[in-house]
Amino acid sequence: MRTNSMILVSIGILAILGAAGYIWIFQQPNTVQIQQKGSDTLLVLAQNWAEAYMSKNKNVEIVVSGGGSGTGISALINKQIDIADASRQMKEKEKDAAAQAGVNPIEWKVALDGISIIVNKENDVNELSYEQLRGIYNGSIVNWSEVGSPDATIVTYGRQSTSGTYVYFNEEVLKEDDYRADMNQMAGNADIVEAVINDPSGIGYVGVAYAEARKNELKIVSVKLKATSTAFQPTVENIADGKYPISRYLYVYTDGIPKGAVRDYLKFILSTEGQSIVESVGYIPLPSSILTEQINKLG
Amino acid sequence: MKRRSEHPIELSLFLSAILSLLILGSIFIFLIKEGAPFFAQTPLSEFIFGRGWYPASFNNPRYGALPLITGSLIVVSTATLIAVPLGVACAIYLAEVADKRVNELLKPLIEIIAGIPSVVFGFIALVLLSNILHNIFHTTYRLNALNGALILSLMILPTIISISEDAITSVLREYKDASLALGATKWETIRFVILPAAKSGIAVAIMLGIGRAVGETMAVLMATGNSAVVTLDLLSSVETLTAVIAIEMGEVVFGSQHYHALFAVGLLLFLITFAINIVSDLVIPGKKV
Repeated sequence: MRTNSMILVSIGILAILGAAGYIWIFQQPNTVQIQQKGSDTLLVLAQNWAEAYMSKNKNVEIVVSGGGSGTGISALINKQIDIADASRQMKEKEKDAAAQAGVNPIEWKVALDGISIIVNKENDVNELSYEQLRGIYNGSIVNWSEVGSPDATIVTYGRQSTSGTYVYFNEEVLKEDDYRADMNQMAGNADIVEAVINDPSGIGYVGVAYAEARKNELKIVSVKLKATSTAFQPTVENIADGKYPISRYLYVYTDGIPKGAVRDYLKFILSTEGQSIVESVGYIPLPSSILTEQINKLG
Repeated sequence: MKRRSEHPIELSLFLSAILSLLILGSIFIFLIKEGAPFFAQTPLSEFIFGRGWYPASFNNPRYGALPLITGSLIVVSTATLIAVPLGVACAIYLAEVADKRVNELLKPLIEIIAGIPSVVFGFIALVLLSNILHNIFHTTYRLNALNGALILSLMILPTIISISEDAITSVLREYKDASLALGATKWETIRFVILPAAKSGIAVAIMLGIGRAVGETMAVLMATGNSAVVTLDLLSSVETLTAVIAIEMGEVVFGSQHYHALFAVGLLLFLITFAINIVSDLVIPGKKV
């Protein structure tokens, strides 16, 4: 009988601890909660913003989660969240759904993301033009010898078809050609980096932060718009002033022009401090003209 | 005569049984509800026999699932061909040959393999196995169907081994003794007495292994490279039915044709696993685990 009562007592203690923990976590008095959800590209950045903002505003709790741009936008449409992170602009279909649900999505540019072209360390190639990249990814260039490297079949790595990066690259570099069918579609930037590090004949496109983090183990190719123009490395300066051509905006969406805590948080994102967090995470801060435009829109 | 107090117990057991049926039914209805709108715009024949999976094409979005079907087919069948002989042989060794101490050491180890998260297997395939295969076969595509099949066969081995071993161990001791008493060798006893007696159990083990292989997602999507090409070449990159759902669902525009297409793939996958279960029920006489 003694063990039985021991068990009962421990269950009792656990229950009390559990309840106390629940109250401590979920019932903090006087807090405003902001729900932010969406693109995995933006996830780390959003977490850093939230952390910095919460450390200064103890009464605000920001819950950040990923899941993808589509997931975030649909959660905004369903009024489950306050801010949707997106690495692509909203599609017509989503705007229609929002209008039907009585939601008025407002788009905010929050950062710039450059796309690095990476190859294996052993690869001789140093720079590629848009035309060559297009050929490599649409399948009309199949061998490294066609772009000035020793003979080897090119193995292409890219993202899956729903990724904002995939769509952006498709539009910007492939000029809307279909990708070659045998491109290896990887579920994330880190997977592409890993694959290219291991594959002497591989080439991939990833967000600059991912290439930068492993730059000793791979080679970042300089990119030029035309065969005759100068090629540039994807550095922060080159992307910010547009010399490096492959870059895109990252967005957040809110329902209408936000008020209260959400507005204040968005203001923080667009502030000098918010934009310096952008850089520390490996993305590129907004150019000042775009930044002013966003701040004016917020009013 | 039943006691009155048994009724609530009986009822709750009945409800639990019904619950699983309800859950299965709801999943099926959900899949149909989300998948059906797809077929309003894309004919079934184009879905099943279409050779191009280009859901995000700017010019002409195509939703041909044939590359995904052949991808799943070669990965799963190769994994099964590798895992079944190995698994059954291992089960025979554990049940009939190994001495008790070896058995007590090996069995828990094999069960631990079953508990390793599939993402870990996927990572092993991505960074380790793909390099080993490249050094042996000088593959153009490091992430390929064979890479996926090998890692998958490792993942389904524990299922096949432990269920086959149970089946072999549960063969009546009298059969074995009688065979040995008649002068048969140990191998002859295994080959002509024990295996035939355990065959339905072993068949169940194989079917469950195939079921697990068809449904496995994470490891396969990390290992096979995910190129939607129609091929039966084991050294080519392929994309499976499960992988395409897993990597595209998160970012897809909800309610779009692409979204419904992914549910149509899910429906196809559901029907395939359902068919495997039906077949295992019909083909295996006196199925028992």
